[in-house]
Amino acid sequence: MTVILVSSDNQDFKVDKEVAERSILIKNMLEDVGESDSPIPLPNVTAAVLTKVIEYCEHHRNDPVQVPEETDDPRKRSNDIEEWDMKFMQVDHEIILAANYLDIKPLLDVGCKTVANIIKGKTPEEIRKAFNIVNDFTPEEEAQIKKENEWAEDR
Amino acid sequence: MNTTSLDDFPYELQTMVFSYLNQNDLAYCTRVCQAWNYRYTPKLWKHVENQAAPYRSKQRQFGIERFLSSAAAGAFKKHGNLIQSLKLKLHQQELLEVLQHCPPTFPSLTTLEVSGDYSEHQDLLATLLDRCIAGLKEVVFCMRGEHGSRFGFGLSPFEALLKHADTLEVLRFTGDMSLHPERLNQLLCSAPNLKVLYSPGNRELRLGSWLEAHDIVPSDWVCTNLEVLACPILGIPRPGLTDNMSFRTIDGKRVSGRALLEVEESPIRQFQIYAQLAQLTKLRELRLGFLFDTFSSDYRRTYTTTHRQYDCLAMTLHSGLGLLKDLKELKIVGLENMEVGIDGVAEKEWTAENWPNTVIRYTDCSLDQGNEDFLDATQYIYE
Repeated sequence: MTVILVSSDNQDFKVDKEVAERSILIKNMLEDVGESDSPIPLPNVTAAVLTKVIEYCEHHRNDPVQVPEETDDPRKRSNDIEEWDMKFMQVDHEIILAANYLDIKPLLDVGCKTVANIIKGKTPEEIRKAFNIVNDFTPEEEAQIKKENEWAEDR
Repeated sequence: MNTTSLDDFPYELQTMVFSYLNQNDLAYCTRVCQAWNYRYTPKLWKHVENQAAPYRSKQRQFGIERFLSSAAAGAFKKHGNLIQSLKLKLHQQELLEVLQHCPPTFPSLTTLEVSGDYSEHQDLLATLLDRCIAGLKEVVFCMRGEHGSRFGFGLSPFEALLKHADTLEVLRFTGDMSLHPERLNQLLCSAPNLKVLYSPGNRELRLGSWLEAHDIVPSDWVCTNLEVLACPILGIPRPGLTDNMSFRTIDGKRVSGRALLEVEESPIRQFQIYAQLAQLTKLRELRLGFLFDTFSSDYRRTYTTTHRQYDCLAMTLHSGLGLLKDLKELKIVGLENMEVGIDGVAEKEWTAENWPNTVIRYTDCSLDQGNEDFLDATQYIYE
């Protein structure tokens, strides 16, 4: 069985129901309307992003549904991203936003881990470079913040 | 990755990203730009912990220097209101210095952990406890005295701790500390929300914090939400108690097994204790034995017999074990280093019927089998 998804720029995507239901948003919508052929509008997702999201869901169609882990550790691991996912994520932050909107938890997790990994292990200057951020501190301000927060550094 | 991404993210996504960052990452994030500083400062300061480096290493020294330097720069006064969890691996003198640069109160603090070497400078701890005005939920003290002696948790920090009785949920005493049994019992009579009391009294008998039978029997425990009670109960005159019980000292009193035997030889006291324990219907873990660690040999020779507990509950149906039948949540019963276990035929049948899913431990497995709770709190101090 297939369903039709409509992107914000009015392109139709024909997708296996099983694949589309990786999105909890779509799954719930399908359950609410019952058996119906009517296309599902996704006004927050462009065709370009939706193509990628569908690609992800196709690749992961046979994954077991994720059970939220109970963990006491407030700091989670981010170094457990699959290779396929890693390549996949070298794209755009819009995918993360789409994953959030479409409620695809595993994709969202991978996205957030990817962003975290960009930050991890980098000095402030390297982070600025990675995110194209301009340093708007005065040297005095920056020195003060460095001093205040240096207890947390593990050099 | 699109370079402007993070700023477009809704708050909950930023929070998800942040959950993968460690303290060091967050500290660097606060130095990126004004916007990031605004965003990450509260997250960094939510949980303050000085870097845990091995006990006598150079690295520890550097870590402490950074911590003191941040304190001296006024960081604690400025951001102290953000701190929810404070874990201080500091020795007495270092804590004293940090406290001088701390704000008069920590309005958000609910978790406090202190570990290090302390002498009898009791007011220091009392001062720290008094500054936690939000009401502490979780308190861990892992200390030892200077030069390998014990640290006696005295009256003034105890009274300061007691002010948190209403909010207290988790209390752990480890290291080489002792707290008077009467005071430990007073906590059980004062903390209605207490879920975990972990005071396994390691090391030699006279160094731990434990409960005394003659305190707990007449007392009115309010801690009916208790899920973990890991604390030996001593001073139980047990019928059949042999006189090979080692001497131990409570406040200078020397008590022998023979003496206890002569004072009172009756199972009534045992019944009373079982009745007291039977109120704790939410218990998941009941550990009545001393848990000692091999590090004791650092300072003095210790023998397993020193840890052996002779004046313990008899663990027989005759003495009242059956009163615990309603503790349906029990997963672990720890009887490590106790002279008696649940050995009788009738008792074994009883446990099979009433505690089908409960594991009963006899040998000391606190280190071998990785009781992580125990290791967690003590590893720093013995590194």
